[in-house]
Amino acid sequence: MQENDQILDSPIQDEESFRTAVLDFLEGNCERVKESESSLEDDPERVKECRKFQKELHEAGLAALSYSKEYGGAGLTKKHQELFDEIAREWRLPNSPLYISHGMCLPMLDQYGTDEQKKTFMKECISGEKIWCQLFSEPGAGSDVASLSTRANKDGDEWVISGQKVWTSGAHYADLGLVVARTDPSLPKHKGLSMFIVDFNDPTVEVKPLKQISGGSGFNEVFFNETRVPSNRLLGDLNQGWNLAVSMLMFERVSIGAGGGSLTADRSPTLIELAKTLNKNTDPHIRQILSDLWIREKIRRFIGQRVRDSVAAGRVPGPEGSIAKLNGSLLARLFRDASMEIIGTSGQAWEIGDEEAEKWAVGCLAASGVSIAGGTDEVQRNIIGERVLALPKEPDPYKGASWDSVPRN
Amino acid sequence: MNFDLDEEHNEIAELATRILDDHLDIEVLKRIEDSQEWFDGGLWEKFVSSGLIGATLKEDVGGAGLDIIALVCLLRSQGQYVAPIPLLPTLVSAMTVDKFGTEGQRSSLLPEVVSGSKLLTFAVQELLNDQFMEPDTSYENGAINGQKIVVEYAGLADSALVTAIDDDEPVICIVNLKDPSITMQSSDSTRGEPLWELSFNETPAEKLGGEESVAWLFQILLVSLCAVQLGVTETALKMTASYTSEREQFGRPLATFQAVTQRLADQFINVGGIRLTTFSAAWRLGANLDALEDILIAKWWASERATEIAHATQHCHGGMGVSKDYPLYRYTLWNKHITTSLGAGTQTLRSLGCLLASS
Repeated sequence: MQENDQILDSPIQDEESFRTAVLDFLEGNCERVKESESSLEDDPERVKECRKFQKELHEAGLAALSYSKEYGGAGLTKKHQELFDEIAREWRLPNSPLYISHGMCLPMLDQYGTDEQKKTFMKECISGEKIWCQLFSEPGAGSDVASLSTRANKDGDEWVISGQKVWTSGAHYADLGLVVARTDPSLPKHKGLSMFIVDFNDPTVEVKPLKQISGGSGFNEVFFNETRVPSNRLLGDLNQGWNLAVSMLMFERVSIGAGGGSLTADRSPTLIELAKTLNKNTDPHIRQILSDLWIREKIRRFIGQRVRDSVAAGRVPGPEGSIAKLNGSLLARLFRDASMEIIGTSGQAWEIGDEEAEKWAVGCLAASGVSIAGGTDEVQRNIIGERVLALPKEPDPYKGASWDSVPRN
Repeated sequence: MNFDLDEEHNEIAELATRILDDHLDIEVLKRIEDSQEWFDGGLWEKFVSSGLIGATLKEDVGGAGLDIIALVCLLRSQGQYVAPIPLLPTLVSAMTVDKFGTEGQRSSLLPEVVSGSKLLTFAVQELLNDQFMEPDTSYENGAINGQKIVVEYAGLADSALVTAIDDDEPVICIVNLKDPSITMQSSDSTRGEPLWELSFNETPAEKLGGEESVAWLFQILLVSLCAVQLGVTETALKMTASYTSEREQFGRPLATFQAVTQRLADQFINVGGIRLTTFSAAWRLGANLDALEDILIAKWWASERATEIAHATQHCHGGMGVSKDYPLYRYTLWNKHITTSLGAGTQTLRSLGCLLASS
């Protein structure tokens, strides 16, 4: 660890030239923004724009900076990625459809993939040529995701996957997915799972978009109808899927809570601007709300920095991902309430086509998903209670029982 | 002390509930929401023919002469079923005409409201002006000029009550919405219904009442919003209780987890608070007692605490809370709509603060 910390603290050798290269690219390819774009949009035009952008970023040698050149990365350090993210925060990067590909799937491939898998998949994932999604949740397995019942049965040299997933973000434009399925129902629920790389162009994979309260359709139901997957598409070891899933969830929590990208960008400046525009910046109550939000966002930045530094130092993200995620969820609600307080009736009705006004109402409705996605607030609190505070676990009457003997819905 | 509702209030609530329960289901709601007008004409017809639209108007115009508590009962039922009909705008406007109008104004508008051939609405909110008693719209020589926003059902209603300033005094005017001098523009809204922006340009208007009528309209509007919110939150909580009792994770119903139970128990208290403060405010207003303080307290509960209820009920539904295939989201949208109508928590607290400081 100490060695890693030293690497982390040492300055980047080529900092100035790297900074120039990044700025040159951003100036040529992006617009400067005051605020981040919302993620997980469903517009096909944006997915197209994203692929084009990512291809150029990759060709410029600025994609997946800390990943090995052999697998399509830039072969630089995590510190470079940090610096890139810091500079890029001032710009609108049209790459939000890659949030899951790069925030969750890429680190999983890198950490658990065989050399063959890395060679086959990582480069196209990095360049945006192939977009990935992740499939954990099922209708009967939400918070209790380990009880999931999508089956993968061995048939000769193939696995046959059958079952239903739900709340799958981006599945409607994904090319590939990481799927957790049950490979041995006679083992306890956490022990009989495995993770597979599944091709979404396979006709037995059926994707149905869900309509959301905010009007969008960012996520989907996904059906696997005896989908056949070659055995070299198993990621990690057989029946070790839960460990992989946990580490992927940690990557997700880190992304949502501490990623340093659009999901964790400071939003109080936008709100301060809004308050100014609406002449509410002299209102003492509004000023208190804004100050409170500003302080909390500053704390989030510190938490995020700690988590990212820890990951950059080579540590696998642990329960601090839960702290970051829970904090991000609280902040999303605070921001929502503050924005509605400031915008007043314009949060209720807006001229058709007035995207600027509509965005506040949509943002307000979208905020409620943050406390669910990637593990609910309650799940995060349980993790913090058990793993950070070392409180005893809640008694589980089914502990150690085989999955097929435990009741579930 | 007896806090039970009177027989006649129970009867009217039961009648409304029966009609709503018979008429509405998810398919009907989806069909109405997909239409431009957001108006369930069949349901409105049933409300008319059962005498519910006239229930709170005086007998000489065909009404049943019931009080504001009856209004609260009707609106609460509407909220419980999130029924897309202009109940609030029509009833509140009609009751205001009934109370302050001349014989001529009453007889030219109200019998047709009772018979279902006229719809009414009100236009009271203005952009960048949250002072209800100080509208920027002006009234002079029988005409008004100005702009109003977030007007409900302006595309369907025949007449609107519009607040304006006459010299220095706030007044309510009756305006024929079909008048060609009015420019109307519909806008998108959170709840999904079209909300209208109206521009009056030398629009002929008839004065209904002065400052007293404007103050009364403000108060009855707030009480009415609280009443709808009461129904909305009651049903949302009921749905959440049954969802978490049925939905199992970790081998047991979600409702057996203390984090879930306690959060929902808090919401029970919040709903109870909305119920008590709303009825108290309505009763005082109906009894011609000083009601503003109680009304502002009720609106605070129906905004601030209702927001907590919306978030808790949605959260405890997990992903289902944000899915449009599950009915809960409508309750969240209605909740948000009411919360932000005529001032959310902060604005209400500020008004209450001014009231307390000046007394």
